[in-house]
Amino acid sequence: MNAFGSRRYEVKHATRYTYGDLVDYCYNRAYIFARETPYQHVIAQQIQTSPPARYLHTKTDYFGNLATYIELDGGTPALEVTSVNTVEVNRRPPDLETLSHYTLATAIREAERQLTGIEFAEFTLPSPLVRLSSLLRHYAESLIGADLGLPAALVELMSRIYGDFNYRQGMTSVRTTLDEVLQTKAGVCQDFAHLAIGVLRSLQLPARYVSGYIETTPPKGKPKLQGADATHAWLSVYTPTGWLDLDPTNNQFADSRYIVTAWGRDFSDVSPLRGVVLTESETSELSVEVNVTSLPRPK
Amino acid sequence: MSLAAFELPSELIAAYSKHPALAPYDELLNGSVPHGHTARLAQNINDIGMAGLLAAKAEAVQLADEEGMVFGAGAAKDTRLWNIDPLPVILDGWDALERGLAQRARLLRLLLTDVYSSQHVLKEGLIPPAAVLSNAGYLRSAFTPGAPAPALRVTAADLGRAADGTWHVIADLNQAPAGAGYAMANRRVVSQVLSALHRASDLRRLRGFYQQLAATLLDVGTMASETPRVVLLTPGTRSDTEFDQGYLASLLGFSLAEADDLVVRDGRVWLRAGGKYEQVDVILRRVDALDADPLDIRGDSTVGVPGLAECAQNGRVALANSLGTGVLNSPALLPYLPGIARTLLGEDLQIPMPESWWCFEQASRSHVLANLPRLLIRQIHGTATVDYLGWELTGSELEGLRKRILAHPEMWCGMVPLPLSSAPVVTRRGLEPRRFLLRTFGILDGEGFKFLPGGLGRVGESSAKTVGSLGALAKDVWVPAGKTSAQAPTTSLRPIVHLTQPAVALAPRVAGTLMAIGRFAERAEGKARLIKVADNVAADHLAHLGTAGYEALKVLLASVHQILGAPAYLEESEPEYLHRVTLDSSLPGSVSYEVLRLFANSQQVRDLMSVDTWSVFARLRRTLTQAGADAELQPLLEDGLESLMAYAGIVAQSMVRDASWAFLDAGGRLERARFTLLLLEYTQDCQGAGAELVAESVLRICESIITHRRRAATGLGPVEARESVLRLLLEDRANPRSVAFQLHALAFDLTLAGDAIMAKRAGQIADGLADHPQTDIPTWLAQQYRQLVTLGEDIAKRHFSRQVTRHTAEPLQGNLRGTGK
Repeated sequence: MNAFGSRRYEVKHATRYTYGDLVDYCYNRAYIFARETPYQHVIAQQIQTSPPARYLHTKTDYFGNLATYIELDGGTPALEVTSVNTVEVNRRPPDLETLSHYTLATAIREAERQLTGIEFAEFTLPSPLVRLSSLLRHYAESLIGADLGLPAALVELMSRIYGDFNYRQGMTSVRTTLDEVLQTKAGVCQDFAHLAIGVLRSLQLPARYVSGYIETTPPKGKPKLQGADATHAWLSVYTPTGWLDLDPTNNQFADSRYIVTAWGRDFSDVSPLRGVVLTESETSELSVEVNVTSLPRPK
Repeated sequence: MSLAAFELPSELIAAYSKHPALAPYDELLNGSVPHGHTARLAQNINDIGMAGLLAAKAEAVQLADEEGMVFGAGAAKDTRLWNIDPLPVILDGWDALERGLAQRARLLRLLLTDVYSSQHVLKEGLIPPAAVLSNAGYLRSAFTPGAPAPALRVTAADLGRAADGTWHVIADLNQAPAGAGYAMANRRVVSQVLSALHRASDLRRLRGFYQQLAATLLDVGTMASETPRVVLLTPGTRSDTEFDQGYLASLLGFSLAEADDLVVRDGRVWLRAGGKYEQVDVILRRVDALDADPLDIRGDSTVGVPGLAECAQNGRVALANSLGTGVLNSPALLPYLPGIARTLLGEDLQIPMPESWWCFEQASRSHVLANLPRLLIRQIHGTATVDYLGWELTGSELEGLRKRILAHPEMWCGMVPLPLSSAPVVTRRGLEPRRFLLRTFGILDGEGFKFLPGGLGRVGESSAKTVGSLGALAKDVWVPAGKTSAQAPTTSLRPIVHLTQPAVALAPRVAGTLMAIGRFAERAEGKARLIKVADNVAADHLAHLGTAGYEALKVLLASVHQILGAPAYLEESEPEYLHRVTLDSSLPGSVSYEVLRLFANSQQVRDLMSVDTWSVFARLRRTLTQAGADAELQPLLEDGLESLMAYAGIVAQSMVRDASWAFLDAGGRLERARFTLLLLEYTQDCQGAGAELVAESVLRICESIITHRRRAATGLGPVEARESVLRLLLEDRANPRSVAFQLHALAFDLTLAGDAIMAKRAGQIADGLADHPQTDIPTWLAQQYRQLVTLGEDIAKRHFSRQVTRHTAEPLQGNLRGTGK
């Protein structure tokens, strides 16, 4: 099922730190505000914290994302940072017909011509979590022939990652390298996004990491559970018709159920919430709860 | 002095002029005769001869030791003495070089602003964007559209000479450059070693540069506060250049601060000071930018301050240098700088560079790969550069390098190696030529830059072609004053700043370090006295088994075992044992172990220590670490004790009675009280024939034997030492060696440090001493000892608390597959 055209959502994203002892203080860098794009309009957005933020400052970052710095006073064993975004998304299906006139090679030439030198370099160079190792290059070569048409190559990339790799939580961390993912053949959406980005960059096609949310549908006949959603990550590749969003985790092009918060070179540029927590506690628990609620479409 | 006045070259200089390792350009000689500007130096070499040069070298070593000049990481093991050659390198043509350096600094400053704002140079391809974007020093978190770009305020560069003598820039150092402290310390040493030559030479002074540095930093801070607070942020003992940082901080009059001393609250940076927070306006940063903020830059850093990048971005704290300046260090930029200079400045670069290539570009890569064995191969590694000397590599090493370059060409550069100049170095074999590198230092002044006249010189450890690390072998660099600079000294343009940094309470780490210094000094002293007396008794009585003297000796040796926590080996004789626990610095608890701890802790708060302490420490270390296995213990300990007393004198006579002094003194008082209690506990039980000798020895160890005798003679005290011991050493408040005296002094110190509660407790323990029981005294003494241990722990808890442990928390992104379909 694809869902293109206009859709409206409210996304509530809560991150809770729970420690075995009192927290003294907490610093956060958050990418939890949705960003404005040609296909996504932000209607309202806010951040709430518990305890109330002692200091909060949002800026536009290098990539045009909204980055929020938050200081939280301690005195409790649990802290919470929550964002609520109301957005309207209106994505059109990818123009595969136009893209079918390009091979990988001609698409690369087009990207070099259309993008600024800065953008082209930014998204084809290796980045902290997307190292272009020889193992990755071999994988990329085994995956996509240079004479393949562009749409076929992108479909092949998504379906091979989808088919060859197991979605498994707990196998990878925020520091996992692509070589590790290639060896264990398992990971979560951010690993698969990094992998696809690595393949595209090793072929010299610009690709960037996209962080956000996705509306999920409960299994048939079951009610939708609170907090069943999660943050999601996919990627954008530059094509002769512009940036195109692919989701290898779900083996599909992004439609209007994909809500964007931020993009960058990889996860390290746009991690939804990174915290430095001061506490003597030996134990910690981190929980993330996301609810994507579909709102009635405006008349 | 003109060339004509130079007498025929001595054998020394003649031999040097024929040395096979002489470079095409030599800093001393032009062919077989000196340059005009080195004639006086050459004459001086002639005059003092080989013996004089070796003596000068030895004196330089000694002076460096006396300044506590060290290089290398770690408290004791990896640290080595800063090594200075006595012969300065004298530069002519400095004014032109300085103009060139200032031009380069202006260019780098413009370039930095550009790459963090409009990015024109990248958009127009003046620099390939990837050269900047692939560099780890290019911090995207320091780039906020619309906000000010990172600022270049301090700058440094490494320079070397080509065969014809022209200076070339080899590397730019704009991150957190090291060496400006060493440069000043070098000058202090060499100007003493060659004092006659130094006096006769009219040199550009160094002082003005440091005044300018302080002034620029204070200027930056006055935007925020009328009395801006400046700190030097240091990684502390983990840094190779801890000395350089401490020395610089004390030259500038700014406090040293480690990450634990600073805290971010409400988007501002504060110094933790005695339970309060004081705002920091300017940070002279010596922590690598990549380690400076675990929140926004790298999560695993322990030497950074979370939130620092955010504060800097919002202009709430100014950094020298800003986070993000490290990108300017990249050798990938070098090939493009001449073009950038013409575009941004409309000028040609005044100081050339060796030809270099960045391997990301196809043609450059081919050239580098085809010429690997002839090039300096440079790997970009974070904000540092790792150099490989192509001509020293084997075929398989070159092949390995080729593969690595092809895999990540953006991380590699090639450079034509410079021959470099040679400079004479004093060795036992005569003068030897070594390759010479010059590190220059600049500071922003208005829109331009001022430079330290000369800079930090260094040469290789051997005649081989390369110059080693910063700590290899240093050279002082002299710049003759000349006419222009004599008329317009660099500092005349602005009034000399009076460095009135507002007085602060101490950061917890600093207070803790000061107290540790007091304790280590006292431990060394107490143990030295104990061993000295035990050794004395051993000399008299060791051979007389079964006598009272022998019994006393056994009690004293047992005390040494207990107090030092070091048992004797089975086969070890008593004198051997005492020798070992004095001199073996690897043995925890030994005297020389305590001395090394004393020195290492003092380095960490160099900005607070009197300058005279270093020569005393140097003598102390020499005494204890350079003694041979067969050295006589008595004169050695006497010498050590003399140094410790000299140190105590400096602390007593030249330190202002503020919180710093209070903690330093408190450490000594607490330690002496504990030592005395332990000694009394271990010796009180002694009965029988040896008891009187033991008691006398204890009075001797505690420097109270004379008082005892005088009081006995005048009828004011008991005749027997046994009866005097407790009174004199425990309760007598007039005896500066008694436990009661230490505790009252401790109470005074704690009051000065603002802690009335702990002061009261020290006073209470002191008052309790007069009521000691008459039986089972050792048990009671042990109780008193434990009270003091608890008191020490409580003081530490109240004053030296480190910040709460940091944890990073970062959820992965993850959506169950399939639910989106």
